[in-house]
Order: sequence, then C-alpha cells, then structure tokens
Amino acid sequence: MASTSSKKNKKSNEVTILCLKVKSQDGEELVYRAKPTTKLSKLKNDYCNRHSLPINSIAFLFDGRRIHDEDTPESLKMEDGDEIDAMIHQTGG
Amino acid sequence: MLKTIANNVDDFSSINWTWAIWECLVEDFNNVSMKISNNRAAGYVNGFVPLLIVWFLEHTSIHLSKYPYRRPRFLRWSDDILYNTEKTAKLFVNLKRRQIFVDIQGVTPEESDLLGVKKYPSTPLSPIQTNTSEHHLPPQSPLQSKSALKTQPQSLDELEKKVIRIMQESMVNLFQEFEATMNKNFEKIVRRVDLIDEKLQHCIVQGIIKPDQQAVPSSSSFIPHTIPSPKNIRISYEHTKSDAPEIIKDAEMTHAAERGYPTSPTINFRGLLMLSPVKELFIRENIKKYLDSKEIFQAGNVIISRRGMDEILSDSYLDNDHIDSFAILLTVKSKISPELYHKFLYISPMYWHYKKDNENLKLFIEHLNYSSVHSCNFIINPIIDGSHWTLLVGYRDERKWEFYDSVPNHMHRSVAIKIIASLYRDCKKAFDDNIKKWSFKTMKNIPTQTNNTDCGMFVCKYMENIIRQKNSNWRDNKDWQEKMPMYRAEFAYGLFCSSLK
Repeated sequence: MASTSSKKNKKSNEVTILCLKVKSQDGEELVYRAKPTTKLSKLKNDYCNRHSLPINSIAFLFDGRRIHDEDTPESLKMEDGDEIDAMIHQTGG
Repeated sequence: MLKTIANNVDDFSSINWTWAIWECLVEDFNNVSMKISNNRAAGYVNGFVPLLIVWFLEHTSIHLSKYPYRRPRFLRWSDDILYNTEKTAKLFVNLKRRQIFVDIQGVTPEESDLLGVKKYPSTPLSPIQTNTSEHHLPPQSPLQSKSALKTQPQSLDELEKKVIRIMQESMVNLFQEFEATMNKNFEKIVRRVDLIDEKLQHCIVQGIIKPDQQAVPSSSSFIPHTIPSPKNIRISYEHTKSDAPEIIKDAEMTHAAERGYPTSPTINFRGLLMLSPVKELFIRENIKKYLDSKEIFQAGNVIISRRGMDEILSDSYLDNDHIDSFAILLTVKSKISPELYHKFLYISPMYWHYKKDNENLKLFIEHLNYSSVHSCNFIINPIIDGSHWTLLVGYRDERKWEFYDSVPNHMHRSVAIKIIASLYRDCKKAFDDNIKKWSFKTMKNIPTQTNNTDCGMFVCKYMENIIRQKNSNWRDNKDWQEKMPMYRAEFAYGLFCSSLK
C-alpha cells in the first residue's frame, strides 16, 4: 500500500514540475525546475543574481515574447524542456 | 471657592489667581492678629507666607535691597537673609519707628507701562501679575492705615481687566494666524488637484487616456474655492501622494535596497526643471508611484521599469528597450494626429543584434512584407553597435538610405551597410528593387553631441524629426545638446502618460 502511494506521489511530482532551460547569448545554459504556477519573476531574479547583474537588465524571451513578472509557465503554456532566451540589454551612448 | 472651581474646570483660567492668593493670605493674617489682640493662641498663618517676608523687607530698612531694580521684586534681596525664632523675636523688639517706610511706592509708572502697553507682547503675563500683587501686598497689619485698603482692590480690578484684554487679544491673534495657515494649506491642495485635473483633461482631449469615472475624480468635483467634502479631500490625497503613505514608502524602499537597487523618490533630475510646471509636477508625482523594479511602461516585448525611467531622466546610456519604446510612442502619436507625422516602418535594433551572432535568425522583421513596406515611405532602423547608437533611414520613393550619427565617425557606417545587405537577403520579396543599390549618404551638418552619453536620445530625436511633416529645416538647430535633459524629461513624460492607460 505504502509503496503504491509513494509511487503515485512521484508520478504527480513528475507531472507538476517542469524543467526550463535558460540560454544566454553565449550559449551557456542553466536549467531551472519550476512548478507551472510559480511566477517567473523568481526565475528572472535568480538568474540575474547568479550573474551579478541588476534586475531587469536582462530581457527573457520565450518564443520571441518577453516574459513579464506575473507570467507563469502555465500562462505561457510552457512545456517540459522549453528554452528561454536571456538577452542582455544593449546600451549605448 | 475651591469647590466651585473643581465643579467647573472651564472657569479655571477666568479666575484672578493673584487676587485670590492675596485675599487668602490677608484674611488669615487678620485672623491671627485678631487672635493675638484677644490674647488667644495665635496658631498658624495659612496662605502664601513667603510673601510676608518680602512685604516685611519692603516695608523696613533693616535690610537694604541688594539689587534695587530687579523684577519680580522678591529678587532684590539676596538669599542670605536667614532668621531663626530667637532672632526674629529680637528683630521686632528692636524695630524702630524710623526703620518703617510709611509710604512705599505702589505700582511705578514704569510697571504700569509694562502691563498696559502692547509693545511688550512677549512678556509673560503671569510674572507681572505676581510681581504687582507682591508690592500690592496690602498694609493689612494693624500698624497701617485703613485707607490704603480701599484703593488697592480698585487698582487690581483695573489690572485684571487689562490682563484679560491682553489675553483676549493674543488669543484672537493666535486664532487668526492658525486660520490663515489652514487656508494656505487648503489652497495649496486645491491648486495641486487643479493641476492634476488639468493634466488629465489634456490627456483625455489628446485621446491618450480614457476618462475613468471611478478611478479619476471628475473635474466638477474639484472646483476651487468650494469647500470639498472630507471624501474629496481623501481622494485628492491619494492622487497627490502626499505624506500619508510615508510608512509604506519606507517599507518599499528598504525592500528595494535589499534587492540591490536603492531608489529614491526625491531625485532631482535637471531635465524636469526645463519642463512646464504642469509636466514637471506630473512626472514628480509619477516617479513617487513607482519604486524599485516596478514596470512603468509595457508594450509587447518592451518593458520600461522604474530603473529604466531613471536612466532616461539622468544622463545615462539608453538601451534597446528605451529606443523601442520611443518608437512605440511615435507610432501612437502618428496614429492620433496623422496630419503631423508620416507613417513609418520600424525595425528594432535587436534585429541586427541577433543577426550578427546567428545569420539564420530572422527575428524582429516578421512585420516586413510587401504590403507593409509599400504602405509607407520611411524605413527607420536604429542601430546599436559597440555601445553606440546610430540611425539608418530608408526612403522608398527616393530610393536612398540616410545614415545619422551623432558622433561622426566613418567607422560607424560600415555596420549600416552590413544591415542593408542582411535586410536584402531576408526580405527580398518585400521590395520592388535591390535595396543594396539605393544611394547611401552619411548625413552631415546635423545636430551632434558633445558628451558621450546622449547618443541614444539623439537617435530618438532624429527619428522624431525625420517623420514629422513640414519639418525640413530641423537640421539647422544646433542647441540640441543643451536641450537634451529637457528632451529626456519629455520622453519620460510621454511614457508616464501612456502608462496611465
């Protein structure tokens, strides 16, 4: 009984957690595991912190569309293994 | 008497306390002297007895006053006069007739001056009262004549009237002052609300925002010089974002600081001072609304956060989001007033940015097709290359390219030629002829920059002036550099306006 219930849990976990690849322009990839309901602002902020970059200095694009703070994998219809492009803003003066 | 006061606390200030103290002391003193004359036990003198000492000193020449002109009068004698019971008994025995002043000065003209005349408004009233009462201390002892008794209360009555009058006047003054400040504050609020209202009307007229009766108070409820109901005042506070949400603001700011980006709502951007007061106020109020990384402007892939707004208003570099958002604003403007602006086709700087790394990518040019190209004459493409902004403009009718560079340098134009070639490869079908064979000209005698941070804004202004109709001699203006802070502030103003949607 116990084993079957844990299996079930595992199964449901597999269903609910997505792997998202964040790809920078250099080709560097970082994989995030996220629930479909997690706000992607979390991912964005973590990525910026990891690269010691100010928040909002990177544009995250999914299928060519900018990811907003309130977006979730569910709202963008992301699937397991989808790629997100991390694009550093081009500044000039 | 105390009971009646306790019953009605409001009367407290209306009582002449100095007179009461004096009365109480004299009454008790008379009682005691009566007891002594009837050969009964004297008991105690109740009341404010220290006055008796002063009275005694004033009426005898045993101790001459050390400081004859001090006020209040009890300060005239030094505090080294000490008597024990034995000494006192001796004192009265030895007291000679000539040592007693028969006629002492009452209120000096100088003192009545102090009381009556308004030129000493700051002199506290109570010390004068006690002061006068002290030397009014009546010659109530059996030694003194009784005629003095009758005159004293009269003068005290006068004094009382004077004091009450002065009190009343000062109260009226204070009240008037208070009323004036309140009026001033109220007018200020009304003025601010008017400004905001005016701004909103302006926006509504231009069609930038739609009137929203629930979120925005209608102009009719804010007619100046009528007293608004408390509800209206509350709304105006919400809109002006004054002191009320101070605590929340602080909390947000610490939160922002934690995330590594401290923002201040009170930064003084110099461009704001070059705008009209209405616009300046509008921007200032909006800046306060957005803290940290809140999104201010959002359209498609373009997001301008508070951080981005600060970059516009200060002299920072502009990034691709800024340039794109400026182009979006231009598109909106040209839609609102098509008689002022030419239609134009915009290619994002990101097109080339992706292209140079990966030739196969065809991002940001999905909208380029035969019909879109042929619907307008102008093709505008800002270029970011090596931290420098330049502008490439194509004229379909004249079959020519123009290249605008705010820091004229031959090195910059090579990238423009590459972009033309790449555009030709990607959208051959959209054009009738070979765009590579259009004439290519680097524009000379255009406004140029003298610092090294404004080229993004220069590119924006080039775009605006190129697509504006009947504006062929814009190149003659050479004062762009001085006006850059203003242009930046205007840009921010436009973004805030469209964010109101």
